Amino acid sequence: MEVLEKIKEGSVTADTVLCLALDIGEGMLKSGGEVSRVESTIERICRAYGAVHVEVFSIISVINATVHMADGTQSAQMRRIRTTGTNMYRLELFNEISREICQATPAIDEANARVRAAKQRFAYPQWAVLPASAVAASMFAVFFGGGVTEALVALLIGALLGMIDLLASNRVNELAKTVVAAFVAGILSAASALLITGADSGVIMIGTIMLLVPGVAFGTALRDLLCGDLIAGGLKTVQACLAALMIAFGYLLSMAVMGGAI
Amino acid sequence: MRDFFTVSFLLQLLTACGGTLAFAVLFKVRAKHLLFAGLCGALTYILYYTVAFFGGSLFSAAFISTAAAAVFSECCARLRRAPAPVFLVPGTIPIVPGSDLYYTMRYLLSGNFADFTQYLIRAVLVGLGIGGGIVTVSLIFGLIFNPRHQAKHV
Repeated sequence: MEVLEKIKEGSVTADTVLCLALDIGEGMLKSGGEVSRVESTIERICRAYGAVHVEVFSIISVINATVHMADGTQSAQMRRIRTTGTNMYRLELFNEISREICQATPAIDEANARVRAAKQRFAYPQWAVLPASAVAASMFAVFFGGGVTEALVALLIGALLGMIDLLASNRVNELAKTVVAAFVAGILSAASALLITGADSGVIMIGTIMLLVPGVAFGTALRDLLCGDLIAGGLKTVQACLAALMIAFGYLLSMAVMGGAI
Repeated sequence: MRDFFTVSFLLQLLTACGGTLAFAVLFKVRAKHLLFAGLCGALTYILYYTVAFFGGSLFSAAFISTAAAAVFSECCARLRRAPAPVFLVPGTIPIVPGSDLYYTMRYLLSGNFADFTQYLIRAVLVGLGIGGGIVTVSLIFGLIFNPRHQAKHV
């Protein structure tokens, strides 16, 4: 058996296999992969390298895994995940790597090199956040009934929110970022209604908060809950509800500043 | 009977599609999948509008359109060899209850608790519809394609 031969070479040990599997699992979780996908990927990779028993438990902030190899050695490792986002390109890359590993079981070093390479790849330059959030905000301002004026104002505010996201990236608490973004959006849409006669601040606000609303997060949280991943789903629900509360809080603050202008 | 194809519907369809594409870029969907992510968003909104047009409830509109988007995403995932969320996550954006959430906050602020509860319930119902649609399709596809590991890999 090919796999057994590799174990004899010494490159495949319980530790190295589990470490590789956890690298890939961690990459998926950080890119917005589902908990069930992460768990089954780790298990499959370990089994591809000859593990006889694999236990994985993952929630959104921790992956815990134990692996037993055919020769009786074992390894238990844990990963703490501190930041998660949505990066579908990375998710796709890690999915691809995992599929290839399960089909071809390359040498551990080769697989590790592929994982490292995937972490260096970007689908779009970082500044793409600016035009993308600008266009998204203006599209949804029109979607919810705005006209040309509202679309243009939402375009500007959307670009600014993209800028906040870009500057704050990983250094700032996610919820604090949401409060600031909602506050800025609230102030600016109220101000635009004061400056431009006839501009509907409500529509502008709706367009811009679409960038912050945790709608998809709520959907996937519910999915995890109903599919039996109770802890992960519960945590995601709390996260989504907190994000919604923070939007309301930031908006409240902007109201307090702008008075009854909104 | 109102007209099905109104100018505002076409405008909404166009902006839903454009908004989905912009969100797809924010979610780092790679360029070669953008077209299909955009189609998924258009499909979701067309169905949502259609169900609501023929008198369906908010929940059933969200449920049916999300379920269809999930089936579409699963098919795209198999045809284009990419995980299903690549298409599904941007695809459900057009029916995310952004405006309901806005009015919820607004009525909370003005102390109008009757309207506040109404919009809060609307937002939660749509959220439940989205979640329910995803789960249902996920379970069915799990049973068909992956009977040993049920309900994995949406």
